[in-house]
Amino acid sequence: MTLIELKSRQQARIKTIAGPEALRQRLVALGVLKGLKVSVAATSLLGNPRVYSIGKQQICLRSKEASHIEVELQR
Amino acid sequence: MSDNQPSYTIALIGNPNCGKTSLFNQLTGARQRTGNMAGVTVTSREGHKEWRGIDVHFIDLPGIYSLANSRVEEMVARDYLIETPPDLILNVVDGNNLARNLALTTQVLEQGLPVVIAINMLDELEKQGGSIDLVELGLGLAKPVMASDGRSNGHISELMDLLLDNIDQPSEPLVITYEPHVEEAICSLEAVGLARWQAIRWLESGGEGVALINDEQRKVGQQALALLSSRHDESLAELIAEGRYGYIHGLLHKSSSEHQDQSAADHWLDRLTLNRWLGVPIFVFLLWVMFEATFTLGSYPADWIDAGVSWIGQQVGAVMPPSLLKNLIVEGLIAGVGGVLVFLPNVVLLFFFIALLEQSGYMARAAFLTDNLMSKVGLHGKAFVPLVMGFGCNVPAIMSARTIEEPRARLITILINPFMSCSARLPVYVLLAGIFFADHAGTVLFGLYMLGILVAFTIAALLARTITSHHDETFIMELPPWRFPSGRSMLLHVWDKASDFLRKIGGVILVGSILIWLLQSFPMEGMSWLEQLGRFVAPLFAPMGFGWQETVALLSGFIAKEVIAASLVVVYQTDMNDMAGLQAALGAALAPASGLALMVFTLLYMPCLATIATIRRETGSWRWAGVSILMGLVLAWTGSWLVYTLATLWL
Repeated sequence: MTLIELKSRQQARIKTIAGPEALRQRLVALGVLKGLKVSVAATSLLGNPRVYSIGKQQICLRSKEASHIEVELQR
Repeated sequence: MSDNQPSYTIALIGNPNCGKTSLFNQLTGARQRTGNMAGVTVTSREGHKEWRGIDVHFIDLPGIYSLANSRVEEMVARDYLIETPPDLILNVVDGNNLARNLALTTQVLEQGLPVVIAINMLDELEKQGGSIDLVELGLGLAKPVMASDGRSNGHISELMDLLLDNIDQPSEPLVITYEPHVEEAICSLEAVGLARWQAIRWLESGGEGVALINDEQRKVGQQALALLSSRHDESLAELIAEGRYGYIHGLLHKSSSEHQDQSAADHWLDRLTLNRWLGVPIFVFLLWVMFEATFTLGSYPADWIDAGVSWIGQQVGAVMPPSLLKNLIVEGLIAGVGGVLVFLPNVVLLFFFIALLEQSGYMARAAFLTDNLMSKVGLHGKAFVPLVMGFGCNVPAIMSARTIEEPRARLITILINPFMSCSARLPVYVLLAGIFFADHAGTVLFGLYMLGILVAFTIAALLARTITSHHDETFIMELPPWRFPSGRSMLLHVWDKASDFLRKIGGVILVGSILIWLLQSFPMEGMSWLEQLGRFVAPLFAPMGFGWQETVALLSGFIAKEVIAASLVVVYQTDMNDMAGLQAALGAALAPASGLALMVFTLLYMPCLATIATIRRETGSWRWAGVSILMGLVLAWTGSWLVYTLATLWL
């Protein structure tokens, strides 16, 4: 599943990061890396963008960008 | 300064929002704008400090996450380090997010540049139960590491000593071992003459990032890239980052202890302010409170200033013999300058609140709350910073739109910025709202700012439909932790704005008041030039119920918007030399509907001269400056006419 399908209170780990090269570079530079724990921290009124807790950071992503991040649900 | 005095250059580098600019301000005594969100510093800034008889030249580079991305800020920093390497780099690191901050450090160290590392925000880290062994970290990196604090000056002399001691020290490039296929690619690039760091940078940026590369090197590089992408799903940026983070985690394993992610109070604040249903209402409510408080709290000190000004006016009036000079000083200078000076408390308060929102970290959250609306009208998420800065002054706000790379989004951000009501317009609102809507003045202020935002967004939506977009820029924003604003930084910020305002009063407003007085007083017989001019143009403004006095005031506002208030004071000469007199005179001359229309006109009509010049410079053509003027005038006239017509029905 991708990051946009992640529901609040669910925990996941980042599996792969796809998408255009510029986006991948950007995410990597921000420390968004494979294997990090991720959860939904906040949702805006219309559901896009959302804030995700990724590792130790809080990062705001629009659906367009978040849809390129593949995650694996954690139980 | 003598010619043989030694001089060194030290560049500050670090992630966005790591406290670099605060440290730069402490080092150089400068007062650059700081704020708790990414992207406050766009271009590099310079400052000096004398230490132990040495002239140290500091450069504050924009905050960046990586030297291998091709964004404006990053290219500024990257090219600077390659083209004019400084004598030393002061790498500022946020202790709260060590791993990611150190990723940038490893890029700098690989380049073999001399580095001193300053770790900021250790107090926050400790509060959350984390710790760093600075000695261990310094040993691991083989570089001097020191704790620093952007909020207190205590450590500055120690830091200066450390910096000077490390100039001219030999510096070995850091070598991180990457994944074997990456190493292969690095070797093949080294074989054609690239340095190791250049090879890594080139690969990491996916074939950009190092300008100096010849055809042979490029060919080898392309082959290596193709081979790597056939062997791995991950991008090269990821593969290299894995190497960097592997190295960093090894380092931190020895020197730091884990801490919890977010404190309970932070978590609670985020739950509230970012709440899906409450977030936007809270934002709007906070803005309303801000304007209400700006008006109400500001009126007390304003009364004292007013009393002071009229006392001075009376004293001068009593001492000087009746003459033209006396009239000039009392009716032109003191009345005009005093008439604007009265609004200093309001301006200071507004800046205080904006600084509070910025430094606490709320602004970044507001950007998140409004992102959807912004993207709907063709604005980029990064437009938020320039738009908020517009509440202060449109000139730096328009310049800060440089961070937006997509040309259409940048142009729209520039063109709508003048509708963000700058602080120069505040005196007019406070004056008129106080006269006509004394009981709801705060709400009227709030309404005007909201109207400005509404007009800005409508125009943005229209422009987005007429100008073609080049490409979509990604919007990824890091939410900063909540921070208690530092008193020192708030004071500096507010003092800075207050002194800007005072300087303007001493300059353009003083000259403007004298000019208006001269035009008002001559010729001595018959109708004054000012009145002639006003009456000539007044028919244009008659539909809104403005007299020649308001017409003249609006005309004078072309120079700078504060002059409007000064002109009104000078034109409505009253026997009583204080605000109460002016308020009575204006209240008698204008209907409340006209008062409201005058505020709307002031809000929307053409940008001041300085802003026009900035639009011209930033867009590179007079055409857009012309569009901005025309758009403003048309909107102001229609808008205020509509408001006047509707308000006469209501009021």
